[in-house]
Amino acid sequence: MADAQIQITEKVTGKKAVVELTGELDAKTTPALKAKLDAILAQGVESLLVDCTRLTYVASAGCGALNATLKALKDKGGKMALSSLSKEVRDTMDLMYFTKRVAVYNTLAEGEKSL
Amino acid sequence: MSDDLYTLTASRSVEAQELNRLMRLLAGSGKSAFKKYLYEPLYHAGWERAPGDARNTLEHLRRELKNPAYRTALAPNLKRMVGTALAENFSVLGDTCIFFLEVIQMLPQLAESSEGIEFLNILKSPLTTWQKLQNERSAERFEQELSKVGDAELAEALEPVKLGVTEERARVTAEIQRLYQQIMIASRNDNFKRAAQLLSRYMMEYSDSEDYAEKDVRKVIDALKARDRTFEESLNALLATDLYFRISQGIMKGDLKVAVRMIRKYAMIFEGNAAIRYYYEIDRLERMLYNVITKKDLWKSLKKA
Repeated sequence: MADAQIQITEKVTGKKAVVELTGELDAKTTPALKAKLDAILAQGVESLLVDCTRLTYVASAGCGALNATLKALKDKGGKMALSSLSKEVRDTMDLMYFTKRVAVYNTLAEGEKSL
Repeated sequence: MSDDLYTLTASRSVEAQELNRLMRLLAGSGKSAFKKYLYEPLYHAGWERAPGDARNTLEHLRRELKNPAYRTALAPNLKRMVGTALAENFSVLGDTCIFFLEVIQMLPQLAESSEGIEFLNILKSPLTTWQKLQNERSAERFEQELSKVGDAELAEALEPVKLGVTEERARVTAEIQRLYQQIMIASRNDNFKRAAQLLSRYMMEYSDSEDYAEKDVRKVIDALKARDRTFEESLNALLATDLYFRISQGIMKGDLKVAVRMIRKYAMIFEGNAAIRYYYEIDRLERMLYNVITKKDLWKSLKKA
């Protein structure tokens, strides 16, 4: 199997940020996401939306990294949401109980409105 | 702190713990592997002695362990005991080697003895080689087990911990509080070994429970880390090794339920931290699991569970 790849793009506007994920989030690609999210939080972001329209796979490592970011944001009174989960990604996140902890929106527009 | 107390360091005690786990897995994998990866390395290192009564020596040393005056004689006697066991049978060989490793974990001075260092050096390479082979086999076996497991069984394995029954919830809550109090006492007394053991047990048992006191756990870890900067690293190594040991055991025994639950606990505790042991091995098993769930079209029924 070819190694998983992830592409992360972010748009930071003041204390709000939208991060778009393209590819697969597994053990190999999670460290890159973790580093990116840490850097975004370090800029003072308090509201974060992770758009998963182009995310095709997520493993528990990825859910774990997102959960760590969610906790960090909540600790400083911030919030985090996910948008546009594919069925496969949603299924795994459900299994990891992650969707019980984080707000999930059907579309990017809905997610952005919530920020 | 007394010199006799175990000091958690990221070095030999963790190495001994890892080898201890591997040896227990090795023992469950059959006599030929035991011979190749444990008996032969010790034999070729010249450890074999004339047969005696290694089991009796083991019991004697176990009693003497509490006697500080015996400490200087302990390391050479442990070596002699393993040498005698080599000439006896695999069962006593396994028990004596595990005991030697447990003592290394408990007593730092023994870990620095020439016998302790030699013992770890002899075992490290063959057991690591066996572990690599075992990882491959575990992955294959996991895939096989997953493909033949029934839908209901898989659904049960992945079912979340539900505490709907009042008595059960009260029992778990009381146990959580009791354990947490013990952790606090151990940490106040600078008993790092005890605190690590209790924390590890607490996190292992309850990290996926609704009443898991995650923030309190973090506070205890930070407090202990301030006094011993290697504490968290050692605790993580302890937990990851234990979880992977349970996952491997679950796979070897065909107990998918245990394997899957431990994978999820690992994810919840370590939150995608790539620096933790077995991070990539577990990710590989997880991908297999999801492939099978997709092939069997079980996502819907799993979520209902």
